[in-house]
Amino acid sequence: MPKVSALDMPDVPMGQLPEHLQLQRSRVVCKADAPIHLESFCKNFKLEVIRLTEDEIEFDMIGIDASLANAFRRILIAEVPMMAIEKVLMVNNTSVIADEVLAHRLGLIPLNADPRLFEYLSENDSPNERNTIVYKLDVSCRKGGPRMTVKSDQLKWLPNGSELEMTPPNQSAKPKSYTSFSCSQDSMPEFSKKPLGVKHEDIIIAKLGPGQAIELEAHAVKGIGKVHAKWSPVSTAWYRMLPEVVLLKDIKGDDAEKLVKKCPVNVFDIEDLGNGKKKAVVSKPRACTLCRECIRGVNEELVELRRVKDHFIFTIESAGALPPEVLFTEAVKILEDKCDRVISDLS
Amino acid sequence: MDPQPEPVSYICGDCGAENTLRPGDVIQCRECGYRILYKKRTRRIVQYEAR
Amino acid sequence: MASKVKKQDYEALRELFRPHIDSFNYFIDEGLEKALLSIRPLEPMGMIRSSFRSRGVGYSDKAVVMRCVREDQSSVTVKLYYLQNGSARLGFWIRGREFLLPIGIVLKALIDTSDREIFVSLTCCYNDRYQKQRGAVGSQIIGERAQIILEEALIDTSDREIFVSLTCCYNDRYQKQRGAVGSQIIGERAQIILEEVRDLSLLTSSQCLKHIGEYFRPVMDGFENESHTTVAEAVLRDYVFVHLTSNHDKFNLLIYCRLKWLGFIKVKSILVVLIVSCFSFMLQKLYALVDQTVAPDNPDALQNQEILLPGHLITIYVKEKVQDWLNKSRRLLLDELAKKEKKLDFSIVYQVAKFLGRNAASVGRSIESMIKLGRLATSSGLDLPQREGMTIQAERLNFYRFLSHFRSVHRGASFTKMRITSVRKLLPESWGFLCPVHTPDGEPCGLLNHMTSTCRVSSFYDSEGKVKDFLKIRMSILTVLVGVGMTPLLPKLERAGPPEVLHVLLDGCVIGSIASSKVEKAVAHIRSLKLSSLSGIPDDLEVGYVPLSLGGTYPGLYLFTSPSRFIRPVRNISHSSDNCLNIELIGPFEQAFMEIRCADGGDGGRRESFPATHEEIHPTGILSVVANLTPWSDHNQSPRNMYQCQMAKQTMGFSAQALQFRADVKSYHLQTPQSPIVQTASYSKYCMDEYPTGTNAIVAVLAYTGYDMEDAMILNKSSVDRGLCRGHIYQTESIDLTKNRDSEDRVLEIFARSSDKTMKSSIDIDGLPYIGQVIHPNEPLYSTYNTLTSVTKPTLLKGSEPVIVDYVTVDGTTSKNYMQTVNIHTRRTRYPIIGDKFSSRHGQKGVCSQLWPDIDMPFSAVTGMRPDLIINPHAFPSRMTIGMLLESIAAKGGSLHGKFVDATPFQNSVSEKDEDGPSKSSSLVDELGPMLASCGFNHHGVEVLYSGVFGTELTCEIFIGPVYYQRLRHMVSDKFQVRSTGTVDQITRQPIGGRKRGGGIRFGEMERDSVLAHGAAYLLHDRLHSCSDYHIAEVCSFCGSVLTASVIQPQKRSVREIHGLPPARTPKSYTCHACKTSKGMETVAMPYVFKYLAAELAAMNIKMDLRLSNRAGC
Repeated sequence: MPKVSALDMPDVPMGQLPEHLQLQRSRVVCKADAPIHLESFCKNFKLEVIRLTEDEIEFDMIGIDASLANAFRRILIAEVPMMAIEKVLMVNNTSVIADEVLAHRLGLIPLNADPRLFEYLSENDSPNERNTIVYKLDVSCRKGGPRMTVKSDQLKWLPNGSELEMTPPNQSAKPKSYTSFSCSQDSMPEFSKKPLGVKHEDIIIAKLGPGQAIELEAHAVKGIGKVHAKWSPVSTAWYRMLPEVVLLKDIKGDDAEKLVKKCPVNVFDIEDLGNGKKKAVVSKPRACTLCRECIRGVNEELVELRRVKDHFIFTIESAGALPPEVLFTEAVKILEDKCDRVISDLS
Repeated sequence: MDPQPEPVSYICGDCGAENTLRPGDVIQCRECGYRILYKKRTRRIVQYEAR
Repeated sequence: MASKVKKQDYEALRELFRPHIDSFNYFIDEGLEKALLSIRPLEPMGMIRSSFRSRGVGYSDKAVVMRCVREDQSSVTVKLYYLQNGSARLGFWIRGREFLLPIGIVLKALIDTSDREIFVSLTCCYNDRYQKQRGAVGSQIIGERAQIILEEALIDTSDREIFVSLTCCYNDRYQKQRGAVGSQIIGERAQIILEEVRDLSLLTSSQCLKHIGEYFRPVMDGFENESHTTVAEAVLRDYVFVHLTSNHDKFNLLIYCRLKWLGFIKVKSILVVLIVSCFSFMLQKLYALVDQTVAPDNPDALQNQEILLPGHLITIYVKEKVQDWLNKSRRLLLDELAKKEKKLDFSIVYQVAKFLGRNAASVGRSIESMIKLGRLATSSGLDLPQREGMTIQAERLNFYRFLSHFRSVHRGASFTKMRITSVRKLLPESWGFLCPVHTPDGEPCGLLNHMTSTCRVSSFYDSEGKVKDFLKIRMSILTVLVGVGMTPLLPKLERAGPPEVLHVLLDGCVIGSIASSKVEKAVAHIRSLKLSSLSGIPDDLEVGYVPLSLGGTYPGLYLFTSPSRFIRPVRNISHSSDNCLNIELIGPFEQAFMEIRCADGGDGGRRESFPATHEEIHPTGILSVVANLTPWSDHNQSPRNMYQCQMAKQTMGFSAQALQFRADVKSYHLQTPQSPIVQTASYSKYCMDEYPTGTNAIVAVLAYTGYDMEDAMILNKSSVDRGLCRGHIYQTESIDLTKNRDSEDRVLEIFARSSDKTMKSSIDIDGLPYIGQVIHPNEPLYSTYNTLTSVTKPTLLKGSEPVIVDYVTVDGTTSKNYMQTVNIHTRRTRYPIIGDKFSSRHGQKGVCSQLWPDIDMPFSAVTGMRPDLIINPHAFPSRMTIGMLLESIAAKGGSLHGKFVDATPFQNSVSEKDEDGPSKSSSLVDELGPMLASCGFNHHGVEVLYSGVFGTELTCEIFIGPVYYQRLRHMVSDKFQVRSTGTVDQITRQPIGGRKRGGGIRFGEMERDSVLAHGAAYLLHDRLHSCSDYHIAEVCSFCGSVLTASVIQPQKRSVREIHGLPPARTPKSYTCHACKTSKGMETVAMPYVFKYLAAELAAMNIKMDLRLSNRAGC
């Protein structure tokens, strides 16, 4: 199809479009230009889950504007809260890895704790069983023994809070713990079934040589990915528009074979027309990665790669604390809260 | 100066033996006689932000 | 240094690249590792310089210069100047003065010879027979020659002989033919030389010696009681052709001497027999140069240079120092013996030793200070071009920098100040020896070069690490040469010169001559012997065969075995032998006359009459180690590769393996480095994974936020949160209290803590910090106790960043019982922040302009990845760093397929030869593209990205892929400078400069001009006056002086209080000290420096008058 500007078409006199189109072209009319018409949105919006595993979800969001899809993506990455180690109390560390590097590594370990059960630790709060999880790492490598690898499963959850005591400001004062737990987290019903461990048990934290030791306590708190990437609940979350591959002409015979072979993700297939005739068809447009391998050099007039504007293939890869589908509902809730806030602030 | 100083622990730079020294002690490993000693790490708690 | 590399790896490496992985020799001095600079000394011969004219009346601008080297690598340079009357003067330096001797005297003094002998040897390169073919100039001079000969016959028969000898190198037949070096006037010149001697009425050798001795007596030490002859002999021994040990050699050489790498001849016994035959090599060459039958040699060409190695420098320095010490001791002993009371008994060893020991320490001290300061404290100058800057600090910023220090060659400090650029030029002679890429831009450009990765320097050691036996080597070379048709000087002397026969020189000593027809075969034979280890010919022998040419280099066969020559391996393809690689080591001198083919299969414009005899091993052999590590450097614009070589040396990486135990003053360390996905073959060859320098960052090339303009780049904040390019700085503070104390009062200071509670938090009982403790600026780092005053004084941490105490060592070696010497090792983390500098490996550096939130970064449609780093596409068109684009594509393919990609430059020029078909792929992209396409990625490395802010697809596809990025050591935290108010200068009251002191940045003249041009007068006034040294001065309008104002004491406060007035500030009143009145006092705002200027002028008896007026413009 030769690309001709609408203005150059023979039925457009002097480059003037029909009145309603001309208006649309030159004026903004609020209702017409609004991205979503509520009634049609309610009617047309669809959500189809394509794939759901423990850590990953792929679903189609159909009939929605890119700005909304992007809002979900942004919230998923940066605003859904998570638990992550924030404070590391280093008692001893004679390993080759420096204290602050070790602390940084610990911070990035995904924890198996549901952030919804915790509160934020604000500046004035003292750490308690409702906002802090305490882990302990006490490892040492025997002198004369082989070298040792410290893995994340050696982080031990302390349900009763910190075992370390602050140095008192004066001699007479009673030593105080770093946390003030009123009860053991064990005894709380939400944690008693599922201990607050780490998500993956084989993350290498450090390596110890003979005679080296690490002794520390790590305090995890709730936070959001905007502040630091360690609180991001997803490895990544993104979407893409549904690809639509269109064959502008019939491709037959050897050319069809060639086209099928060209695509690395097998978008095309061959339809047998009988008596040895073959025709290329688009069988899996969804798999298309827009790599343009099919139109590189030759087929530029034969194949067109299009995207459906309101059909988003959304993928969420969870970092582990929450299942991906829950993350999405959390994100929706956060967006809802934001909208509520805007409405209440405006009214 | 402190009236009755407590000893401080050092680790020999050569053999790795632990030595405790008071002010005025000869700076030398008691095991091997090496004269360069590494100070032992404190067990005072140091707090880090995991960022 | 202990090496952390696996032993067998190291052994394997050593063959390819000797000084590898910490196996360098360097000095550890006061905590600094120092390397000695390698300097390329001048080794030229024929030179034309106008400065030579200033030597005296009659001097021309031509001379032959030679640097003679003794066996111990100490050297003396002699110059042979051409005089306009045809004679020559021998010049050499003693104690910073140049002495010039008529050549005839020296020739005669060297050996007892007849004039005839001299004459014959001088003229042997000229022959009448060749004259006819030329026809033009010759005839009258032949007549002259006949006349001269007749004259000589009248005077002295021996003179005639000399004449013949001198002129034997000239042969008319060869005139204007290829290879004619002599010209017919040489006979005249020979005569002039002899006449000069006669004029001084010096006829015999002993007379000449006496003459020289008289002349030099004042400058020679220790010959007070010797005869003139002895002095003269000493002069000749120590200053003329020191590389030869017998006078006969010297005589030959003075005449023959086309010397370059002058070796040292020990074969005295043989050469004594070779008396005679007065060849005048050096003279002949000088005359040839004057007559323009040979071209002057280029002193800047690597061909005529060798390298001054640190070891040799130390050797000659030690030699001189020991000589000084022996001289001093001798004087002491003589003085002691001269004393009346003869206490000293020479037979008792310890008494003598006492005197010897008196100055012995100075030798060690001077070596130490030479290494520390790089300064040579020498009276003679050691025949070196410079005395200062001989050492550099071997910085361990990263391994590249460290390594480059040991591969660098400096041309000499004197050239850095010169305006001329000819020395900086990249000359074709340095091909394969010095890297064309690896030189800094700016001041030392072209002067500080780096050896290529294959280049080595010959040494006293052979390939097995044994000390070479030079006598044996020379003897075997001599035997081989005689075997292939050389006529040795020995039994029969041949009075002939080029072009019939070529002279053979071995390490600067004439050993014989060979017929020009036989030379080529002989050279090929020697080269084949070089390849086999059994022949006794060393593998680094340089066979410089200079063929006959018209107006070219002086012909001959020059052989060199000496150390400190550049050598490099090439493949010998003319010698087809069984299964061995035929690797031959060649030097820069012979290279210019060899036919070496590049390995790309082409003939390099070589005609068929000169078939290639050798072949380059690999094209990357012309690059230095650092330049070799740039991936696909053959696709980049060449200056970009130069920039990369510089920036590679500034990156934060792994500076050393055992950081925990090192005490470098400052070292940078990258927390999470990676091995580059795209790497060259050299990367694994040199085990660079032991010292990585960067991170594979996902780089998107797009103009996204506007924050990536002008080489700025945007970093993904989440990537930085996760540890991208995070680094540490380790610093060691060495505190030695024994050195701190004042020299007068030897007060004992020790480390101790006061009982003060405030110090307990950061300082331990021993006065040192706790290990692992965080110490903030202006908190105590350690505290010391002064035993005299009993005061404990804490020392605070300087700087503006908190540090963590990494380790503390106490040293018991300096003071036994007290803790006085400690090292405090601290560490600080440096996250990437706005203003930090990063660079790819293609000379594309940029400054981080924003840490951009992850959610606002664009994301890939297929993978959902966000880039770690965004750079602007405008970085590419003008810089043409195609290598970087290729790296991005290749690294993407490599990471998809899980393998490293080889990016060795010039690959296609090698592979084309191996594969017989026509070149299979037209471009590298066509090789890399399918790697991406097979995984569903775009062939050209672009991807569909969505805007992170709007959520919509970006209108064009974006080039994105992993690129190895280096973090450079230039960080804003070390550089930012800001000030509103602060310290001012004591004298001028202007703000001080300097970042450390909290000073401001100078608002200089050019800035002032700019503000003036804008007409921003108020701003100008604000910057230069109000914010600087604003001052309200009291000026007396009567005498016009700013300096005479003095304050009148204000009313007594008590008086005011009685009156019940508030103690308000009343304006001070002033009086003029000179006029004795306060009537004329006015206040004027002025810069304080103006007042200071008035005071300074007053000190010089100049009075400055100010005329005050209220009207503007008056």
